[in-house]
Amino acid sequence: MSLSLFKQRQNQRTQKLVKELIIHETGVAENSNNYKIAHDFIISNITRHTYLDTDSHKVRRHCQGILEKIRVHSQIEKAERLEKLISSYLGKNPSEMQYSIISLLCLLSRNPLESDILSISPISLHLDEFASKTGQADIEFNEEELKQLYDGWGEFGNESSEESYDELNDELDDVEAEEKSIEKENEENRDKTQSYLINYDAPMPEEFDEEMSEPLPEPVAYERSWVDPCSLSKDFYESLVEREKKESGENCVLNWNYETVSERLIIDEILLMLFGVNTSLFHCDQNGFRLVKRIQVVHLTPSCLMNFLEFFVELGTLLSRIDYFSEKLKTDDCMTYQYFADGCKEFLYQTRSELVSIKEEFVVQAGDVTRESISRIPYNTITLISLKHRLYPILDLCKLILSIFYKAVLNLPSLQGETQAKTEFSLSYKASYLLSYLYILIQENHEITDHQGMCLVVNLFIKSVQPYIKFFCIWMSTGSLNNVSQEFMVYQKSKKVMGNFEAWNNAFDINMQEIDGRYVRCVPDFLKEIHVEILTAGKNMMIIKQIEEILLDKLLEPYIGLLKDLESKVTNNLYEKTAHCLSKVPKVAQYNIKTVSWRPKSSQFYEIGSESPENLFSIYESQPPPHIFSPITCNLPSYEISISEKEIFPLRPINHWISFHDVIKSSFIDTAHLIYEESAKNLLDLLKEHFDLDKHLEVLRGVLLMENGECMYPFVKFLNKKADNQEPFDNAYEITSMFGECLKEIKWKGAQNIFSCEIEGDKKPPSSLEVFTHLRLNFIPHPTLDIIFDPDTLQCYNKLFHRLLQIKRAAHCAKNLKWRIKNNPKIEKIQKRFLICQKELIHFTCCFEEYVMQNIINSCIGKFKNIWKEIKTIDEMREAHASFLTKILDRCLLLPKAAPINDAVSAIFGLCIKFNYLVHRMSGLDTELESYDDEISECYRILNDIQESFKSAVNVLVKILSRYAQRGVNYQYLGAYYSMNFNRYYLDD
Amino acid sequence: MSEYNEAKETLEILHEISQILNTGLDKSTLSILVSLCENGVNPEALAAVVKELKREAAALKAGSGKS
Repeated sequence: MSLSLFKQRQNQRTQKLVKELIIHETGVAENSNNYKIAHDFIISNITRHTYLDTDSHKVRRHCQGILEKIRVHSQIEKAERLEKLISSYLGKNPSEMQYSIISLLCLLSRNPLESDILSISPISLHLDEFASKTGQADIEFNEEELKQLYDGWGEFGNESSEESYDELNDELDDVEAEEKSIEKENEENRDKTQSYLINYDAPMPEEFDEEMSEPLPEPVAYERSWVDPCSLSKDFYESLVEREKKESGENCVLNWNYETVSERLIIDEILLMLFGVNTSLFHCDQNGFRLVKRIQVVHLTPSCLMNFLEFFVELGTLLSRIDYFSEKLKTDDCMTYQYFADGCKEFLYQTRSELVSIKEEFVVQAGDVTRESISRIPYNTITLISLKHRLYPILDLCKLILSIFYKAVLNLPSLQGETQAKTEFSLSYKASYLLSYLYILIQENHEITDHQGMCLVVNLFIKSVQPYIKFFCIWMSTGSLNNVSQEFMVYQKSKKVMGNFEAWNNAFDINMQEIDGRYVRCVPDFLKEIHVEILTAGKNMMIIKQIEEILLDKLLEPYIGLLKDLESKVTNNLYEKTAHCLSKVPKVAQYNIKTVSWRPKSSQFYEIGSESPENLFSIYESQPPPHIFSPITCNLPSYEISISEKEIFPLRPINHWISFHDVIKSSFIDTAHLIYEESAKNLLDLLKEHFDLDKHLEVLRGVLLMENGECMYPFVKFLNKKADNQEPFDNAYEITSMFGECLKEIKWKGAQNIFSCEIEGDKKPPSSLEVFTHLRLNFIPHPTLDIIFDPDTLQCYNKLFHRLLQIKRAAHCAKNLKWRIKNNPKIEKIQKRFLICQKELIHFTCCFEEYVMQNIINSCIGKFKNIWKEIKTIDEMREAHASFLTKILDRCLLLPKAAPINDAVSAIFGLCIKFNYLVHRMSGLDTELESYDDEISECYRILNDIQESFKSAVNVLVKILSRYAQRGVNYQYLGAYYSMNFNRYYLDD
Repeated sequence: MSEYNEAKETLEILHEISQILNTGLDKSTLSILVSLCENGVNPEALAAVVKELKREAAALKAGSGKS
């Protein structure tokens, strides 16, 4: 029977994998007999078996059984880790194959109680992701610190235990059998200690001991004594004593180094240690707390005692470290760090409250019951086991806080003297890094089931973000950075700025930090999608405030209700949306107004906003109501107003698994968007209503782009006349007054005050095309409108104005053929040639003028007006205006890339002027002159030159444009080609 | 590249599970077994085979050690 191709490939792959498995597991050679046997065995087993397919429910039950077993043996951390790993592997929709693999691992499992846990914590996984997201490599500090940590703890754990092993071995040299058992147990303990060390993820800086207030005791030679008792059972001790007695023949007493203490004493000491106090059992040194006595408890096995004490010592150490680092951060320059430290302190406070409560219960349990403390009798007896279970969640939270310290705070060089010189991180970078880290941690943790950890991080985030909210609100509502720390993402680039245009472009920008040779924006991760809008909204507010305070000399009513009390709104929203994560809800102050009138007991509650009560209510004596039966006036008391604070209860129903991104979105992103849109709209309205922006634009187009052409017609005519008469352009008064007369034609009277005409630069001869280049029209709008009419923009307008004057001048010269034909056969002979040449020049100039005025300017203005109506922000307005001007400049051949075409056009315009002067020269010739014939010949020669030059220039121009059209490049010149080569006038292609 | 990373991550998770369960499998053996499972091999049959292989390999090693 033939197999399908898929089946064949599957078989081949299985064969290959089986081969790899045999070689890898047994190491036998492929050509050996053993290999063949193994191969046949495996193939026959996996192809012809009688097992049922994997049952997902069965696999789940099996896993639950294993987890239960591990939990029963108090290996809670291992059980939780395994549970998390399995759930993360299976995901939301596990396939049958995934269950098969889990089933395989369960079947191969051999006593999971003896296994070690690896050091892959969820936090480290998040950190890797965070580093990859922020584009930063993990900093070397961590590895070094971790190395130090491992070394430090290695000394703490391993050496001490080795010493004690040596002691033990010295004592027990003679007993070989027992020694073997001791060594075996020691090895097990060593393994356990090491596994414990690897799990720990919190290095200790060297300066820790400097800050510890209490003097440290002398180090005790024996440490971690709970490691040793496990190898010394009572029977074994008695056998040693027996042996000694036999050998010495005297009463022998072997010193017993382990002090028997009660569990009550240990719990008492543990509670004190957790408060950070040195006790007779636990002392604190640079590596944290440690046990300084060899102790044993009657009813607990040594390994059990070891297990408990390790836990409590670790917890005590972590708490003291959090306390130490929080104190240190409180003095940092970065306010976000200070608030983060406050959050950590709050956690410590809550933990200590819990410890105080335990202590009270413990005291009551011991029999010290008073009337007040009777209610504190614990439901469960406090023992080492119950205490461990009760405090176990706190250990995880401590580890979480310390991991945040190390990864998001201490890896920055501000607290490391050595690396500070190498790289200086800005305050802004530090703040944004910490906030981004916390945000990403929350985002990642949301998908995991660690609700308690997430609540802690949310609390820390909300606490740390408080200064940032303040800066954000100041920037968004005033557009300035007064009272804003440098840690905000926006910074003042330049303090000396002239006018709105420079302020808009150069005053503020986003903070940047150089990391490994590239610049990173110092923007917290949750604001990255909106940072441009935040910057622009602030700039909008800056301009609005300037207009209000300086130009209008009055403050306008805030146009966005949100701006009235922005900070409290953002904060309250954040608290409300994360209420399910916080143990307390901010109190809300309310007015309780009791009316005393017809309904004396009725009362009304009002929430207090930012305004004072006086502004909200007008308090007055109530008038007595008219009585319908007796007109007796009665004096009713006035309204009673009391202000009370009460918590909002019950909490609004919020989905427990609400995405944190949505919380941030409603608090920051939506707010920023709203302010951005509203401020932009308000600014545009201000510019249009108070400063006649639209009219300014219209007038500017009318004058400099000669839109409609009515007002500028007399001025252009005047200029051409002066040039025809070869009068120099040096009389500024004459030109200015003529220009002023033209402006009077404009309906909007404000136009006369915003234009001026001046003559600048070297004067060109009237016969040249550049005769008008030193004529400059200045547009001087209200300073506020600088933001739209910046110098670059106005330069573009002037450039276009000069091009239009050139076209008008050329057209005027081409049309200006006025001479009287005298009865001279020689002139009659060349008259025809003149007329032909004039027709050609007129054709070209008219085509070009039509193209520029209609196809370019008129069409672009129409489109620009349509875009202008839709514009919503200043940036859009500036962009649309700039693109409008660039488009016209490009099509008028005024950009550098159109230089060859522009040269040809300018040459033709020059020929028009030359032609005009030639006609003047011809018409002025005196027939009586002797040199008349020579003059005629000279004019004829010049005419020929003009014609030749015109032909070649037109030829070049049209050919270039034709080539563009054929190749499909520079489509913007297609209109110029069709306009000039209309009806294939010049080129038949 | 992302698929590769994903596969690597999955293998890391499985390896950690296998370590916690104390299966005694190293990464390369684990990846072979996962590939076999993906190829449709029954996990119970595979587990029996692996146990037998390990037993035989230990016996072989012990035998060669004695000689």
